[in-house]
This record gives sequence, structure tokens and C-alpha cells, in this order.
Amino acid sequence: MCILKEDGRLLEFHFSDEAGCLHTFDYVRVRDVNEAIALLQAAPGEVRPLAGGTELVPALQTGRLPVRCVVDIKGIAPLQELAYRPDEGLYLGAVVTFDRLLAQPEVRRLYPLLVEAARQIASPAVRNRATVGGAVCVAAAYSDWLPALLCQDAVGLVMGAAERRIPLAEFVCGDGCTRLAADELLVGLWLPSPSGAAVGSYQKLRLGHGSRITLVGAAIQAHAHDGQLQDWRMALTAVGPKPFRVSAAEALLNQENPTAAVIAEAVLRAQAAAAPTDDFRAGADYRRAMVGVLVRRGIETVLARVRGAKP
Amino acid sequence: MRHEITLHVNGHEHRLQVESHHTLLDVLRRQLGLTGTKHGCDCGECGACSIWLNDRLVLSCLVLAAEADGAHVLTVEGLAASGEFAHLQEAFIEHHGMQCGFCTAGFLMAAAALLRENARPDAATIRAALAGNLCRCTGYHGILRAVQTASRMRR
Amino acid sequence: MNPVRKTQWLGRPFPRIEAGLKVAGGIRYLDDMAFGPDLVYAAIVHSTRPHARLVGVNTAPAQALEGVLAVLTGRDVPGRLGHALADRPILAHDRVRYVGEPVAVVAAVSPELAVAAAQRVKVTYEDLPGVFDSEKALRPDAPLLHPQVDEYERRAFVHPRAGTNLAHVCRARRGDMEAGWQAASTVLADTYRGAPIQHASMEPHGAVAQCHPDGTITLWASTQAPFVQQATIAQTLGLDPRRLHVRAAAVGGGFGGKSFVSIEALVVLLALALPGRPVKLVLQRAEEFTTTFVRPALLAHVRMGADRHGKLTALEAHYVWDAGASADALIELAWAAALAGTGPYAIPHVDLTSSVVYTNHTPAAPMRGNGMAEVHWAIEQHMDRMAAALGMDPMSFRLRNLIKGGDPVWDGQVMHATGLEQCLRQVAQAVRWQAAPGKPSSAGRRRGRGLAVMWSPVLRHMAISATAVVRLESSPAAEAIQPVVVEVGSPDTGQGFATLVVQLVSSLLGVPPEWVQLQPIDTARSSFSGPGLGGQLTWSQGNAIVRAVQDLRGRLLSAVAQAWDEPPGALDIVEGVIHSHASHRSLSLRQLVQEGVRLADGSVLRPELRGEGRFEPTAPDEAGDEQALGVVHFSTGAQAVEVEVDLETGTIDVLHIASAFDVGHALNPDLVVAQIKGGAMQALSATLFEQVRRADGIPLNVRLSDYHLATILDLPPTIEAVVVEVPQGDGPFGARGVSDHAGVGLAPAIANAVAQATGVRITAMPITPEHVWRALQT
Repeated sequence: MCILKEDGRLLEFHFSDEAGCLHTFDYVRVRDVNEAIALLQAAPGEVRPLAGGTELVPALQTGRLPVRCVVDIKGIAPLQELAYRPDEGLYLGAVVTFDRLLAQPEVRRLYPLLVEAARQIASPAVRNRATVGGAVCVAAAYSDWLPALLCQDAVGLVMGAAERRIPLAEFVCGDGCTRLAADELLVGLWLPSPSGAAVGSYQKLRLGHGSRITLVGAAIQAHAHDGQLQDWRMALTAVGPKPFRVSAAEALLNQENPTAAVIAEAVLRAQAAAAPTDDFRAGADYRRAMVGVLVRRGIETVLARVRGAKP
Repeated sequence: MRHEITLHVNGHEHRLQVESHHTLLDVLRRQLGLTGTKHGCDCGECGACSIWLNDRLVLSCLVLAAEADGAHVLTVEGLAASGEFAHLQEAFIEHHGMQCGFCTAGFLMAAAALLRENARPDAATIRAALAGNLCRCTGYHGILRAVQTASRMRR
Repeated sequence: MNPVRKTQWLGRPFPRIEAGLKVAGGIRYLDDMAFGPDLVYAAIVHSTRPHARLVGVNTAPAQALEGVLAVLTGRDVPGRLGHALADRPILAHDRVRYVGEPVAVVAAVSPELAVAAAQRVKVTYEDLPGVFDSEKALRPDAPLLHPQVDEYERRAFVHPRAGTNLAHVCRARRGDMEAGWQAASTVLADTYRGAPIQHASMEPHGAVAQCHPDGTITLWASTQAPFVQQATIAQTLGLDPRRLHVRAAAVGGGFGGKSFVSIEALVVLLALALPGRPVKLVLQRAEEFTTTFVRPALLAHVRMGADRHGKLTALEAHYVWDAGASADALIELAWAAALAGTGPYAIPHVDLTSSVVYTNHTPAAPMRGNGMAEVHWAIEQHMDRMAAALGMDPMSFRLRNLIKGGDPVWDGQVMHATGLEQCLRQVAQAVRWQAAPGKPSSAGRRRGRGLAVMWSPVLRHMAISATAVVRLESSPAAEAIQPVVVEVGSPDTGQGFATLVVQLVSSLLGVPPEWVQLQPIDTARSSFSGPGLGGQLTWSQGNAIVRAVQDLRGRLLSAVAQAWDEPPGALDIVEGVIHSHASHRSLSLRQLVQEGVRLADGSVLRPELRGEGRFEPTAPDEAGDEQALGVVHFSTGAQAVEVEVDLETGTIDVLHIASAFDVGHALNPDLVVAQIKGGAMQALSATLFEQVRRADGIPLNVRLSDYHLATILDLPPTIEAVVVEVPQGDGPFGARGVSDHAGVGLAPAIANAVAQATGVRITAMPITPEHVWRALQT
């Protein structure tokens, strides 16, 4: 399904690609990272890694992807690793599923924002299958997962011809676009230990309570030290080509006590950073206004949670 | 490309020839004749194809058959045959948790997955567990009541 | 004849007969049926342009693929489909009129190959200016979709205007408008918009056809109207209808989207091209949104007047329906809107016009309510605004104007007895209408309550006729069951109609329910039935069944009475055994079927074991008169809601839905309640979320995630159904239908509640958060 644009005008509607592939791809299951990378290198761009498959499998069914081979990487043991080490932080293997993430005690205790966001992804059956790495590589502009990860300063670990560590903010470069080369594999995500007791809030606006599509999302996280909140982080989703951090607002919150006036200024900075566009899901002005509402509510929720209230 | 796979479906072992692009849903319906699992959309957005794969609730339209080699699969037919969730099925009948019935198998698989992990879920938990399944007929009220009733009945 | 008033299994809960199969995955829908190794798969080549001349369709690249068996284009298929107005080519002829229109159809040995082949068909277009708005379509300079519409075959009650995009216009008038406006102290006019939405049954459209050696063709379809499909397809293809047998598979939801011909003619064409081989087509979800049908968008111009006592004096309304590229499925809807376009009010001076307009959109078909949800969206909001202008409470204003039994409707017709007022009072009480609004759950949120009443007509034409056959079959001696076979022509699409049939037959005949066997529908064998439109199956088909059972019962009892030399009135059938009150003799039906009954002279009398019933309320009047399609009766009801609105985001939470409908007599109260609640939630989804979004005719949200249907998370904490029973004079045991009407009042009730909570009035559906937010900014 695609819509071609020329001068911003919609031209044509396609039920699927004109070429019409004949489902001639092969499926290979590998146990080893090097094996996977060798396959990716053999025919760059025509070999696709397969993790949870919640995005790739339906795309394959349309015959739209020019794919010759899918490499199932779920069986690679290091990619399944889910470990927390106090000195290093949280390591999430790329094929860790969201249900596994949500069941992990340290994640639940130390990364409340990750948990709150992950719980709102798609549906239970999808979360049982979709992976933390897959959702990064899909790189949806309205992702619920990326803003929470961005607030952890997550780094992507990439293997290919060489090993690379790419901060998540750089890893994703646009809607559906990453810096991953066709012969590289995202093997895991490394999340530094929180700088204090993390308190978070993910505020999300959608059409209905069960809607899959996030119209605007705001992830807020701060870290408590002796009752003081420090190290504020804020990321927005669905208001630009990719989810992003709002450093101008973070800087303000880190400098000043979050009074109503400061929160209002942080809201303005978030709205200034947002670059929403009009589409059939929502208008740009609405989205920008909602950034304000959600950011304010997110900050207030974090403050309330620190005070022990449970809004 | 062809693959030979083994599937343990509803307690029976099957050796099957599948194509790379076949989904688990395709194979269950076309090769094994297990048509209780439905094809409602093409991309994991309706829940009608919900099954259990190695005891986890998944959407069979999002899984390639080749990926499931060696796996244990439970479909609505197997759930019904086991009798383990007869109380849930009866509650769906009693509370009119279905009308046209096209979504029913998916709801049963999702509800059973919930009840196995949480014998006494509250209404909010039931709603969250069934949020990925669409029903156009019942308005969900009968389904919610059916799952609540089943949780009270206990097995 | 023996009067039959037995109600053993009626008026009380009775479990759905097929429920056990449904919870075990055992019901076979179209795509679940097996057709053997010769099965061929079809795929559609769609138009990618909203309006274009077809320059060329090159099928060679598709035909070159091994395993492709046939590729058909519009060149192969002259003629147009239509049961009221033949305005839709099966495959586009010289031009395409909407994105998604079938341009060619492919048959291949696997579904994947069929899709791949369809993608290889090269279509060359020459774009034409399109028209994407029903108002613009009526302008004199608008591009025409069907320049020769007046030459198309049509029924007498269809009124196209040559040289325009007006496919049909109808009008209903009474009184003297000048007098009506003169009498008014308050006159208010506004325009309301209903969005195009999709029926979105969970089961996509599917059909299989096979041409047999004897020349007959079987069409298996997921259909609400097998007889309509048989007649329409046969007529278009120039087939003897007796050659085409339509068999209805189990239907996974329809809501009107399966009441007409959509894809079925395509598989029949392929079956004719590939004799002997069954050909199957099951749509993908995206095709459901573009290629089948949508509920029509409505533009409603309403002008209403009331005097200073709050009595309505005049109503002028123009309902403009966006038909898309084909108006055929909207003709009766347009009539219903004209004839019930006042809402359920007694208004002396009325002028209603209903227009069906061509645009370059996917063809429209009625969805649940036959246009009434859209009409009431306008009228019932307007009533609240009139009340406000008059300084009256919306409920009091409605009570003052509600139509009552005996009030005049159209020429010579008066309203029958109705529980409308009771429905209104019940729902108002349920949401505590008189009490102060509830406290919102947090600051920045407001609560409001809203209500709406409704009525919905059964038209003479929609009711065409219904027939039923009930017969006793002989069974092996060892069987404890005496089969009672019932043949009807309307499928159960999930509402529970089959269960109702079993209840009716077992109660009336006097046999255990498990004896009753409903025959699968096959137009070659089954009793004819009109389309199940307008929620009238219980009434029309139910009456036919009652008559068929009476017929059979009469035959059986008079034979036995003759043999026993007793008056038939002394006999009764209880649990499958004929008893005499007079002589205390008895004879089981099984014995009667197997051996007959012995007369005094020793000879054996074998009564005919078959009863027929036919119900036809009034002969369809096809005179040219614009008001020819009279209303047979109205269903009525009311709905009320409480909502909470987030003033910052515009998000709406529906906290409480109360619905009350006058169903005449609830033959199965559980099924009635299930219909009422399910209909309310379907309407909630349409009200808050749904819209087929398009840009210049190009559909934008053809995935369920982008379209969004209500989920269980959107279910209000409280949802209740009240059953009101004012008997329908000519209904089976006083019953009338409910399924179609169950959502009709919900959208305006929600809009009215939002207005009460926020002070802003949303006149265009859906009431999305953004929509509310925008209204709040001004």
C-alpha cells in the first residue's frame, strides 16, 4: 500500500507494488551472529533479518519487499540476553520480546518509564512476539518505544564489517529509516544505569482508548536524589519525522525548580522543538497544542509520583 | 522455498512441507484444515487469528510457518477438545459473548491465556488482555461478562 | 383452522442454537469451506485513479505467468449491475470511477500467484476531472460520472436526472410550508454532516462459484441476500436465473455490506470462463475499504420551526447522499430518509427531499439502520438546539412533539401504537436526566448528558415478501428425533435469526426444539425472501414461518381428526405427540410420518407433511408516484448517554449508555438485549472514531489500525438495554425487528451530551478529540 507524492500532491493509490514479487524468498534460521552477518553481506539489501516479525511478516505477504532471504535471528543466544549489572546498566538483546522485558524484576524496579511505554505497545499478542530491537529498527515516527529508550540515553550495538556503538538519537534518522547498513545487524541495546531513582511518565494521545496509532506522545523522566529531582529527560513522538529528545526543556528543568512558571516555559520549549505535520490522522496545530498538554501533564505526574501520590 | 517442519498442534505431531512465505495461519487453515482460527485482516490488527505458540498468545498471521518448526501450537479446536476451558466456552454462550462468531476463537484464546496466568482478573485487567481483539457485533459487554463469570467459576 | 397461540419457547431466553459450534471453532464460513484440489483463486486488478478514461488494459504479462488460467477485463463483460438502478459495471468498461474499482480479474492456481498476476496487468489511464463532494457534484459545471444515467435500466421508483450527477431524487410533503413558518416563533436552520464509514464486518467478503456440466452455476457467498444476488447477477449476465444457484455460507457479520452484489459477479464470470473449476475470491482488508461498499456520507440541510408553546410547526430538510460511483444500493435508503426524515415527531407542515448523488468515491450501501442513524444525527441535534432557543428542557420539548398512535403520518396513513414515549422516559431515568450532572473525575474535565429518540421505517418495497416452508421428514426408526425441516430464504448473519426460527417452529408446532432443522439456504431450493434490510426479518420472515407452521399443523390435525372422527379443535400437539382432549387418544408425529393414520374403514390416510407460509403486507406499488413506497410500520426507541470530556485534549469518555427500544414483543429477550448493546457500541465507534478518509478520492486509511474500530477499552463502564413492548399489530406474536435500529439514536445523544458538557456543538461526524478541541478554540 503506498501513496506517491509529487509536489506534496497525492497522485496514486497502489494496493501493492507494481512489480509484484512472487514470494521467492528463502527462510534461514541461524544460531550465530557471524552467520547472520555473513548472510546479510552476501546480498546486501536483499537479505532481511527477522526477529518478532510483527512488521516484517505482513510486509512479506504483500510481495512488496524485494527480499531474497529472511534470516531468523531469534535463536542467537547473545541476542536473547536480558541482564542488569548495577555498574554497567541494562543490556537488552535485540530479540528480547516486550513481554519478557515487562516481566524482568530489575526493569520493573529501575526503569518505570520503559515499563509504562512498553505496556502500551500494540496488543498483548503482539507484545509476546515483538522485540525491543525490532521496534527500534522499524523506527516508526509515532513509536511508543523510542521515546522511552531515548530518555535512557540508550545506545545501539551494531555488528557488521566492524562493531559500532550508535547512540539511539543518531541510530534512528527518520520515519522508518535508520543508520544501520544493509549488511549490519542491531544486536542489542545498552541502557546506562539511571543516575538516581528514576521516576517517569509516558503521556499518550490517541483517537480511542484501544487505538494502535499514537497521535502525540511525551515521555518524561527524572531522577530522585534525597527527594530532589535531577537529570530531567524528555522525548516526544509523532511530532516530527522521528522521536526526539527536547534538550532545551530538559536544561530548564535541570536548572530551576519546577514551579508552574517553569513548567509553562518547558512546555513552550517542547512545543518549539516539535515539528508536526498535517496528515489524515491529525492536524499540525492540534498536535503542537497537545505537545503542550502532554508535556505539562507528564511533568506534573512525575512530580506527583515523587511525592508518593499516584495520579 | 520449501521447508520441512514439525508442528505439535493440539497434541498431535505433524510433519509438513511449507513454503517460506506461508504463515502459521496459512498452514493451520489450508494444510491442517483447522479453520477455527480466522483470517480477518492481513497484518495483526484484528486478533481473529490468535493462537497459543509454545504456550504464549500470538497472532498466527504474524508468524512464518518455518519459524514455528518444532513448536507446540494450540488452536481453538484444541482448546475445545481439551475441556480445560469448558467453563469459559459455556460463559461465552450464557452471556452472548458472540454473535456472528467470526472473532470468537480469537477472544477465547486471548481470554484463556489471561485466565491461565491470572485466575481472578479484575475488569481492567480483562479489558487490557482483550484489547487486541476486535468484535463488530457484540459491543464487548457480553464478552467481558463471560470472562468475569468464567474467572468466578474457576476450573 | 385450529388457532395457534402457543408460546412455549417464546418470550423467554433461549440459547443461541449454533453457539456451541462457535465456541469450538466449528462453524464454517465461506473461506473455511473445502472445494477440493481443482479450486482456483481469483484476485482483482483495481483502479488506482478516482476518475479516468481507460486507455488500455494489457493482460499479457499476467497471462504469461505459468499457472494463470484466466484474465478478464471489461471488454469481456458488457452490462451493468443493479437491482433498482443498473449503474455499475462488473468490470470497468471505458472508464474508471473510483479508486478500487475492479478493472480486471485474474484466476490462478494459488492465491499468491493470482495476486502476483493481478499486479502484472498494465492499465493505462487518461485522467478525468473528478468530483469528491456531493454538493460540488450537483453544480452545473461538475464533471459527470454517468452522462447516460437516464438510459440505464431502473425500477419505476428511481428518479434520475439526465445530464446531472443526480442519480435519484425523492420528496415527501404534507401541509402548507408557508403556514408552518407563519405559525413559528422560532426558526432555526443548519447543516449536519455524516461521514463515510465502512461496515467492517470481521469476516471479509468472500465468494466461490463453479459452473457444472449441466450448465448450472453454484455461487457460494458470504451474503445477507442470496435471492437479490441471484436475480441481479443473472439479469446482468443474461443468464436464466434458474441456472444460478446461490448458497449462503455462514456469515461473519454483514450490517448491510453484504446485502447487495459486490464481488460475487466476478467469481461467476470466472467460473463461466473456467467450466468445472470452483473459483474463489476472498477480499483483503484494504479491499473492504475501497472495493466493496461504505456507508454513505450525508449532508443534511435542516430548517425547523416551532411556536412559543414549543410545538413544532414546520420542517424542511434536504438529505444529500454521497453515493460514490453507484447509486443502486441507496435508492431505498433515500426513500426511507424522505419518508422518515422528520424523526419521530408530529409536525403539521413538512417538505423533505432526499437526493442520491454520484461522486468519484467507493459505492455506498446502507449500513445498519438504512440511513436512519445519519438522518437522526441531524434531526436529534437540531431538536436540542431548538429546545435551547425556546428555553425548554430537551426532554420536555421532545415529549411535547413525539408522534403518538393515531397521529397522521402521510396521506391517509396514521401512526400505529408505539412505546416511544416510554422508551424516552426509561432512558432519561437511567441516566438520571433530572439530577445535576455528575462530578468529573478531575479538573479540566466536564460531564454532560444527552438523549435522542428515533424511529425507523419498514418500507413496502423492502418488505417485498417472505416465504417459508416447514415439513416433516421421515427418519430411521431408531432415531428418537423426528426431523422438522424449515426452509427460509434469509441467512442468520449473527443476530440470532436461526435461533428465533427454532423457537417459533418448536413452540407453534408443539415439538422439542432439537427436532427443528434449519436448511442451509440455496436459492434453488429455499423459499424466496427479500433482503434482510431495515431490521425486519423477525417481522416479515417470522410471519411467514408462523403461517407455514399453521399450514402444516392444520393439515396434520385435520387428517387425524378425520380419522378419529373428532373436531380438529379437540386435538393438540405436545412434545411431538398429537393428543385429543376429547377421546384422550394420542399418536406420535413419528408414527404419523411413518405409517399415516388409519381411518375407520381401515384405509390409511397420509396427510401432506409440508406447510407453506407467505407474508406480503402490501403489494409493492411501482407506480411513478414519488410517494409510492409507503411505510409499513415504524420501529421506535430512545438512547441516552453520559459523557466526560477532557477540555484540554478533546477526548471523550462515554461513561453510560442507556438504550430502550419498542420491539413489540421480545421473542427472545436475551437476543434482543444483545442486539441493543451491540448496536450501541457499533454506533459509539462510528460516532467517535470512524471515517473513511480520502484526499481527492484517494483513500488514506485502509488499515484497521488507521481506521480504528472501538475496542473493549472503549466499552463504557455502564451499558444497559431496556426492552419496551407495545405489540406490533401484524407482527408474529406482536414482534417487530430491532437489530438495525439499535444504534440510530446514539450519535446525536453523544453530540448532545458533549454540547451540554462543553458548550460546543459538533455537527460533523465523527466527534474526534481534535474535532472537539477545534470547536473549543473558537
